[in-house]
Formats: sequence, structure tokens, C-alpha cells
Amino acid sequence: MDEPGTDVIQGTLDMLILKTLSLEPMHGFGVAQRIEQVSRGVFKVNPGSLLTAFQRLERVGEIEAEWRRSPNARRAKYYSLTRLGRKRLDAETADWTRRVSAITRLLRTEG
Amino acid sequence: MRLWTQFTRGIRSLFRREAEGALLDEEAAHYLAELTSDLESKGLRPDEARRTARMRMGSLAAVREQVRDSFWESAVAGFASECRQALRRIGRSPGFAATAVTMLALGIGGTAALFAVIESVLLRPLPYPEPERLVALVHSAPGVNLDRLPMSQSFYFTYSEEARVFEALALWNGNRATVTGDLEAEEVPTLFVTHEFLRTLRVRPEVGRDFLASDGNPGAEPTVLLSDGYWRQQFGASNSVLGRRLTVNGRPHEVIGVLPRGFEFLDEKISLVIPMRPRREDVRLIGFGEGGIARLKPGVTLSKANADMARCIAFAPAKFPLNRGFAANTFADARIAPKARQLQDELVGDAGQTLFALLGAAVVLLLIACANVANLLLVRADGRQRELAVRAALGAGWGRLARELLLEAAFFGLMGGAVGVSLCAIALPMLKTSGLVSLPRVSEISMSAGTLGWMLAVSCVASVLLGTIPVLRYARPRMDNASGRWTTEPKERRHAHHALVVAQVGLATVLLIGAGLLIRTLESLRNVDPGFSRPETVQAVRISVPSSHVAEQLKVLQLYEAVRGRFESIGGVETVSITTSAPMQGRANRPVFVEGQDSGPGRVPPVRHERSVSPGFADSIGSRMVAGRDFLWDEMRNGPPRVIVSENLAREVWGGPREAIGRRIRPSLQHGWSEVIGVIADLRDEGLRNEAPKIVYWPLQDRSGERNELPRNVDLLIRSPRAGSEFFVQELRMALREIDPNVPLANIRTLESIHRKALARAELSMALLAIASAVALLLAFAGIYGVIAYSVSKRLREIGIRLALGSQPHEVVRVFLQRGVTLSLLGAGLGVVAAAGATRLIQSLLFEVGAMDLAAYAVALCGLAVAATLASWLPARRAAAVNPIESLRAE
Repeated sequence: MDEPGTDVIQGTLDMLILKTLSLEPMHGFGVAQRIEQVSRGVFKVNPGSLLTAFQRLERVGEIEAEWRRSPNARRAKYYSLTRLGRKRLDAETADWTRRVSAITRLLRTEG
Repeated sequence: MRLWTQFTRGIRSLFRREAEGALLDEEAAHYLAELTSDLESKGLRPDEARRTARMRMGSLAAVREQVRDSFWESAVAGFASECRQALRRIGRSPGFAATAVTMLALGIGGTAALFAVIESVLLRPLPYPEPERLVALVHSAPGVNLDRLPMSQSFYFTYSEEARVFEALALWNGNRATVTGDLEAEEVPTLFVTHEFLRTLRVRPEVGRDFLASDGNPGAEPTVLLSDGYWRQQFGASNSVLGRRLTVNGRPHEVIGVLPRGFEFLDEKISLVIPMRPRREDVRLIGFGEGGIARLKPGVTLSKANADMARCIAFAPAKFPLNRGFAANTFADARIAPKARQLQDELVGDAGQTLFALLGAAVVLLLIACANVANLLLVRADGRQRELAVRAALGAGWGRLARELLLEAAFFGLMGGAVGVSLCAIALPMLKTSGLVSLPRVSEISMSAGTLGWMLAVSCVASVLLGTIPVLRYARPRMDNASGRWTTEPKERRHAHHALVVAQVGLATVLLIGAGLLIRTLESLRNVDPGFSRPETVQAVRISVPSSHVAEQLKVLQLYEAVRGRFESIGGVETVSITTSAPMQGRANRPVFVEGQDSGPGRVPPVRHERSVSPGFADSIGSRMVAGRDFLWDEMRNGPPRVIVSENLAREVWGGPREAIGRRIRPSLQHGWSEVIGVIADLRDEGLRNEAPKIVYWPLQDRSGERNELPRNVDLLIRSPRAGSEFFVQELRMALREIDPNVPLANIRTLESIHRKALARAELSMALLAIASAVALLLAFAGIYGVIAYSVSKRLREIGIRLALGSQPHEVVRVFLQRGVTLSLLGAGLGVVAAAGATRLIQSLLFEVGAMDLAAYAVALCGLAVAATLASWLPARRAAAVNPIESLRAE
């Protein structure tokens, strides 16, 4: 059960959700599936954490929700990005890139 | 901004918790369904897919809790549900809840009521702007043995001209005045003041104008201000009243204004305010009979004011001539010193001590109630011991369990407080209107925000006191106790119960002893011989005959005689006498020179109490002549001047009543000598707690001076078994109208009501403390009973084994009885020690009773012993009735 390294890096779940939703409106499982697929299985999302993150982002107005029929005819809650969310995503992406390149540089010199 | 949305969304979701929960469940279910179909599409069998999905996702409920717990409102909701549970638990045992709430409500309501009274009477400032700068101008004169000397007109002018510390000052004199004219002759309460009076208080008339300096001019037309009440009652609140003339004491006064509604001065309701108009050139140095108030300049302290007043007093003899007939150094020998005090202190007097003593009693009562309820809660938590242990074992944190126990206690505390508030709100107006309470500012008593705050604080403190004990004992239950199968009682648990009982008994002892001391005080006060007898059969009424109505003194005397004769002819009347003041209501003082003793120049004789009386005074109040004889009516007009003195005066001056007869005295060097013809038994004229003053009884018409002196305001004392009845007073009024329709009957009361007033405060504090201590005894009784009964019920098995092994039932009873009595003795011992300290605080309330009065202690301890024995014996008796077989079988 304890596959190492499948937890989402702490503090990045919001960013991953926002990024995923920036492509198209999606329901919860869709987001989880997409993150898993795109990361090629490196990240597996805990449903509880995901739904909590949705509530939190919805509450601060970075995403909005709408109940719709999914393709397999189930009633599902679809989330989409708001303008505020897009702004946050841009900021977080820039920040993340800056940090990652810094860490990469550091690791390289150490190595 | 983000915080704000967090907050508003949180609040919204709090109120839509059910609906949001359902949506969340639906979303999670959808997630699960999608996951399942995804797994199926990857080739798993449907049942396998469902199982794997469930395993990955975990329980839906857990997901929901995880989501919810990450937001702040879930803590609120959790707290709310804990509150609901606590309330439900309380609701399941209504009898227990009612008992606990009642005990706490009594305690909290009691302290709140007393706090409200203290707040209104002592702490709330007087209803004038910047009241802390208002002072009463009082003096002392140690040289003539007077520790309280009011103001004189000479000092009023001296201070006005010389003092540097006062912004304004004024004289006042509360009195009554007769209003005649279109209206029926009526005596109304009137305040005579100098023109700066209202300005000193900073009160402005509601209608019209304040007095000006010109209104104090003796030559100007007299003016008058009406009270709001009098204005409404007599003039229908009409504005046209300004400029009208009101005939007061026979002279027309121009109405210049109306006072604000509710205006009171020193607790007196007033109808009229009239300017005093002293003529400066007529003022003599001595004549201390006026009240004085002043407003200090900002920043001036009382001691500075007193120092400045002392400086001014030195100027007075140069400014005003000494009264004729006084020795030249009278003034200097009197050694007059200022003793200004806050106006509020002057008004409240010594009521504070009584009130704080009573508040102390109420707090003690509250503590006893808390101890009792804490014991109940302890027993209750005991019953839940198993449940608490199981929940702790299943993972409930001790914080949660502690919160639960505290919440329950807090609800009791708050409910007790709420019921207490209602009790207090009902009781206060009743207290106010009952007339039982003789307190200053009683009409101002009300519940304020401060009182409510006090209630809340007291309730919270009580809750914490209540809750802490069970929490300390049970919040961390140990597994070894969880079986709940004790044969005996664990020792450490008994200690908590016992400590609470000891505390209760100790506190109750303090109250009982306090009540005992006050009962003894009241008893001693009742046993004091006031100097009059059968006061319920003495009717007192006041009449006044202003000089504008009857100018000639002779006619006034004739009027008095006619009234006396007419009253005596009314059925049932035994004696009628006329005096300047009814017993216990006189305040006049004058020096008394004794022939052959201290009439030498340069010596000032001591000042004595005095009153003028007609023949029959001693008879009418039920006193007696100790020596000599009474005046005769004939002597009011003819013959040499004569006088009567009190027994203690005769003893002090001449060594005995008989020795006094035939001696001569006079009130000043200007007066002729009057011969003592009789000696009256002592009269407690200054209240029951004070020694009887030495009194000189001048004849109603005193002819020893240059002019005949005849008082124009007098009390008629009518002894009759019908005194106090409405009909009787009506008859008196009709009789008076026959003689002179323009003289009203006023200030109608019986001598008994005057006597009762003197006892009123002692009666009130005694009654309240007696009630408090009775309740305390009852609570202590319940406390002892409860603990012993509980102990018996817990030890049934042990008792069964003892009995089965051959113990005698009475031995078993003795064990429990002994425990109850030992605890009570311990409590009583501590209580006596505490009482020895606490009763010193009420020393000033006591009268002829020491704080260590043996009788009070003995009675209190006996009462306690009986209660404690009974409270232990009743439940202990049950122990003897235990059936060994049943108790061992029972599980």
C-alpha cells in the first residue's frame, strides 16, 4: 500500500487543481484522474484532500461550481476557473518555476 | 477581504449545515461511482471494482468529516452539539436540575439584589453634574461638646466673602409651608434656600428662570419655584402659571419657574422652593440651624476646603456682632472647626456598613449553594463514571470529557443566574414600595447594566467553581475503576465530598452567628426604654400659624388652647399636649446657664437639648414626673417663669431630681431666671442607640426673655386608643377646621411609627440575615444528608458483610452518624474561627452586644448540632435496615 512518493507535494495541490481546471471545467474525479494521468502516476490524489481543496478554493472565489450531467448521465459538480483563479495560477506558476530552477541549480552544484 | 469571505461563508454554511452536508455526500458518492466505472473500464469485475474503489476512497463519512473539519465553523458546530447534549442530559433529570438551579438562583439573586441596592445607594453618583465637587458644609464645636454643628447665616456671608475654594455655596432649610388662597389651606414640603442654591447644584428650572441675586433681596417681592409634581397636580402643567401669585405662609409669592421632573434634594420630596432673604446687617454671629452646601472649585480637595474654611472662620467675629446675652468669648470657647464632607456621604450616612454586611452574607450563602450543587454534580459524575471510562477507552480526549462536565456546570450556573435575575427584578420593586426599607435614596434603587454585569460575573465564577471539582476528579478516569464494582468507597473520592460538607457547615456557622448577634441587638434595642410608653396610642399632628395669618402672639396662644380644648372633647381622647417637636424628632439646642454655677463672665455653659412644651407633655407621651410637678395652663400667661428639666440633667447639675426643684436656669445672660418646678424621666430623643440627651423643657410660652417667645410650628400629641385610625384623623381635621379653616393639619403619624423607624434598620438587617442563615442551615442540612445517604448507598455491600459477620445494626448506624457529626464539628470549628474575624466587621451594627457574645454563639452552635445530627441520623438509620443477603446478591 505504501508506495513512496505518490503524495502531492505539500502546498501544491491548489496549483495542480487550478492548472487542471484551466483547460476545461471538470468534476472532482476528472481532476484526480487528470493529475494522475499527466503526472504518469507519480501523484495520486486523496479524495478527502481534493474535496477539501475544492471547498476552500470555491470559498475564496478562485473556482466556481455548477451541477451538470456528466457524459455517463450522472449528476456531477463541475468546477471551473474564475478570473481570480487564473490570476492566482499565473502567480503560483511563476513562483513555482522560480523555486524549482533555484533548487535544481542548488542540487546540481551540490552533486 | 479573504478573512471576511471566510467568515461570511462560514456563517452561511453554519446555518445550512444539513443541505451542504447532503451536497458534499452527493459529490463524494459521484466520485466513488466514477472511480468504480473507471476501474471497471480497466477490466476489473464489477464487484471487484466496487471493492477496490471503496478501499481507495475510504468511508464516505470519513471523507465528509475530513472536508468539514478543515473549516473553522465545524468547531462552532461541534461546540453547539456539545451544548445540545449537555442540555439534553440536564433535561433528562428535571428534579436534579430544578434543585440545582433553585439553589444557585437564590444565591445569585440574593447577591444581585444587594449589589443593585449598593450600586444605587452608595456607588451611583448623585444626580447632579460633577457631583464629586459637591460638599455639605458641616462643623464641629468641641468646646461646647457638639460634634455636629450645621451652618449659620454669619458663616454663609463669611464664606461667600472670604473663601477661595468654593465655586458657589448656598444655605438651605427643609421645612413646611402653608399655602392658602383659591385652594384649600394645605401644608406642603418646602425648601427655603439662598438664591445660589440651584446654581450650586447646577440644576436649571425646566420652565421659567432660576433665582437671581435680586430674589434674595429682603425688599423685593417674594418669589417661588414649583416642583414638577406640584405644578402638574395644582396647575395642570399650564405654562400660564408663570407670574401668578401663590399665597405661601400668608404672603403672595410670584411663581417664576418650575423645577425639572424628579428633582429631589437629600431624599426629600419638595413642592416649593422659596428664597431665604437674610438681611446682612441683622445677622448675628451665632445661630447655627441652616444646612449648607457648596461646589468646590475644580481640583480642590476636602482637606484643602477644610483648611480654607478654618481660615475664614477666624474672620467671622469681626464681621458680625455677637448675639445679645452671650458672653464675649462664647464663640472662641466653642472652638468651631470645619468638617466638610462629600454631599453623597452626608446623604448615605452609615447605611454602607449595613449593606456591605448583608452583601457579605449573600455571598456566603452563594458559596454554600455552590458547594451543595458541586456535591450534587460530583454524585452525578460518579454515576457516569463507567460511561466516561468507556468513552475515554474508545478515544475521547480528556479535553472533550472535561469540556462536557464544565459545560454542564456552566449551564447550571447560567440558568441559576437567569432565574436569579428574574427573582431580583421582581423583588427589587417590591422592596422599594414595601416601605420596609429605611435607606437613603431608596427611590433611586434599580437594576443597572452594572448589576447585570455583576450577575453574569457571579454566574461564571459559580460555574467554574462548580465545574472544576468534578473535572479534576473525573476527566481522566482510570481503567481500574471502570468496572464500577466497589464494595467500599474509594478514599480519595470521599475527600472531595467531605471537604465540601465541611466548607458548607463552616459558612453556615458564620451566618448563624451573625444572625444571632443581630437578633440579640434587636432584642436589646427593643428593651431600651425610649422614655415614652404605649406609643401606639399617641397620635401626632403638626400645625403652623404664620404671623401673616395671626399676627398677635396672644391670639396664637388662644388658638392653641382652643384646639387643645376642642381635641380633648373628641370621644376617646385622654390627653392633648402641644410641643415644638414630637419625641425623637427634636433637634434644637441652646446653652443653659445655671444660677450660682457658671454664670461668671468668660465661661460658656454646655449646650443642651431643648423643646417647648405645654402642660400635659409627660402625660401624653406616657412618661412620668420624677420629682416636682407639671406646668399649669395658667402659668403660660401669668406668674414667674418656670421650667422643667430631664432627670439626667438634674443629676448632672444638681446631683439629683429632688435637689433640682427650686433651682433656676436661663438660656442666655439676656434672659431672666426660670425656676425648675419639675423633673421628667429621661427621653431617648436622639434615637435608641444613643444615650438619652439632657433636655430642658421650656414652657410653650416662654416669658423669661424680653419678648414673649411662642413657637408658631408645633406638634400636637393626642393620646387616645383610636390613634392611627382614618376616622380619628378625619375627626381631628374637622375639629381644627371649626376653630380656624386656614390652619391645615400636617405630618400625621403615630408615636409608634416614629419608634418603629428608630428600629427599622436593625429590624431589616436582622430579618435579612435571619432569612439568609435559615436558608444556609437548610442547605447545610441537605449537604450533610446527601453525603451520608450517598455513602450509605455506596457501601451497602460492606454493610451487608458486616451485618452478616455479626455487627449490631446500631453499631453500623453509629459509624455513619459519627462521620456526619465529625464533619459538622470540623466545619463548625472552622466556622467559629471565621466568625470571630467576620463579626468584627459588623461590630458597628451591634448594640449592647459584644462581637463575642456567648449566647449568640451558643444558640447558633446548638441549632447547628441539632441539624447536623438529624441530617446524619436520618440516612444512617437506613444502613441498619440493610438486609445482608439482598445487599450481597444485588449487583
